[in-house]
Amino acid sequence: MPKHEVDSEDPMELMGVTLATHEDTLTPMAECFIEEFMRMRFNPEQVLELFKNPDYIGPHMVWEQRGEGFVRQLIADSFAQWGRAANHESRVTNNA
Amino acid sequence: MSNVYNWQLGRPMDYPYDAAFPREQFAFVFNLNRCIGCQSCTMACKSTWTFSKGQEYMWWNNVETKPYGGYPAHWDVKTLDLLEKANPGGQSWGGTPQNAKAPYGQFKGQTVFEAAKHNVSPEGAQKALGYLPTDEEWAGANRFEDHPTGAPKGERDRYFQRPESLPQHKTWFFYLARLCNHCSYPACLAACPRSAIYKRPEDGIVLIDQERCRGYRKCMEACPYKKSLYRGTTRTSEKCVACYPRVEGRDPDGGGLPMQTRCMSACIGHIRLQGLVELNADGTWKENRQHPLYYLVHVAKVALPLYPQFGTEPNGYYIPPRWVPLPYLRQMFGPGVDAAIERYSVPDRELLAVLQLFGKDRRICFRYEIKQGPKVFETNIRGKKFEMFNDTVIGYGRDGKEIARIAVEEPVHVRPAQHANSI
Repeated sequence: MPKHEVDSEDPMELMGVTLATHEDTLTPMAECFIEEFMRMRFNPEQVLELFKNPDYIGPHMVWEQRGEGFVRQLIADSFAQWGRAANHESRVTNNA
Repeated sequence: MSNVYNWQLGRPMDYPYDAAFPREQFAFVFNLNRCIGCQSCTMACKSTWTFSKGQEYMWWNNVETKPYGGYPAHWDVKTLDLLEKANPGGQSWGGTPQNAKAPYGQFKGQTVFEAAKHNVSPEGAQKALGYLPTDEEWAGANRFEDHPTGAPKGERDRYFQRPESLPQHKTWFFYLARLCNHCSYPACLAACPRSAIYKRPEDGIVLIDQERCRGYRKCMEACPYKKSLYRGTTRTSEKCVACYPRVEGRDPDGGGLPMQTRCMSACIGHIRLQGLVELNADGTWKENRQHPLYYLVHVAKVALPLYPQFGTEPNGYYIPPRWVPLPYLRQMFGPGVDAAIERYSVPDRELLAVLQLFGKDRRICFRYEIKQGPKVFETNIRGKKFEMFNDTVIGYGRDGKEIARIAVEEPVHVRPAQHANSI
């Protein structure tokens, strides 16, 4: 055990670092997760479940902060962009 | 001090020992674009190696939320700060990327070994510039990184209890999975006053001889990645052993073939690919076009070393997360970041196929081949033409026999509900 118990009220215990930017990149992060799991053949509903699961904190943060409608739309757009049909069984042959 | 060649820096550098390279080197690539911080790797390692008394705060593998977190807390910020103080404004890159001897150009600054020479204390100069983390910094892995809430004193954390008691992070972040990099020029090995740390000639795995170690913790101080840890019950330091029985092919599951480590095998996001690479006499990677790690590091150049400027030549490589601001990534992975992200964001035919090898088989892949398939889709992605082919990548084990065969458009088979967990 450490000599001192961690005190949740102690501001020095925070993981505080100065960021070079306050840029909000939650949307591109969410897009990236969608594409990666789409490539692993998750279907849109399975990808959405990833975002709804509080154990997967990154995707879940997007779901919490932007709402399910936003995530659903992003999933639909990403699947369409990479030529995947919404039901995931067939490929869309749309050359955008 | 000897003069050794560090290809990640594109130049020779000082190191306390002469260069000596293994026949093969343990190495791995992590695709950070896929990591969702599930900690399956962390728990696979914990339940295999560090579940005993005295190892409670010991995580050989950890996943931390960058840029807020770290295990131990602030490990990279503190080491970067020490280097900046030793060489103010001089930690920069230059030159032009060349071949495998200088793929990222040339590092103009000082490594932890070079900066240490001028950091003389009453105990003498350090072998590698470093610091010893405090107990508190080791004790709170992941604390407040994602869950700005804490338990009352003396109670177990209940991370998912709402509401948060502290402000939530609202800006960019990503998960950084880490383990010992089994460096080619290990700072831990250089700093050990007992010569208790050695690098195996057969696979480059860095180990601490528990018989020789007396727990002076010089390795903890020197390792810039802070992947050597102290165990109070044995009064020795311990570190990741790269699951060496598996790498040696002694796990019965592998049928005698070298297997990937537990953390690699357990990754549900398929972000990890571990292998053994052959080296030239000067420590650079032997050209092996069909080796998946060689392809990712030296051909596609999408996988980059973690903090190469530290100078230890780490053997862990990362495909950087594409949504993170570039200045931060350049500091973390060096000047190869821009090209790596551009290439990864719109992957070409071969890269898309090789990425399919991640997490598909527990045995180590030594060679791959691609069987070309039909074009199934074309479009423009972020202004670039993208064509997708349903190629098949075939991975081969140490014995030259096939261990994995995966199509880019791999079909999905869903178990019926009544057999969801049957094998």
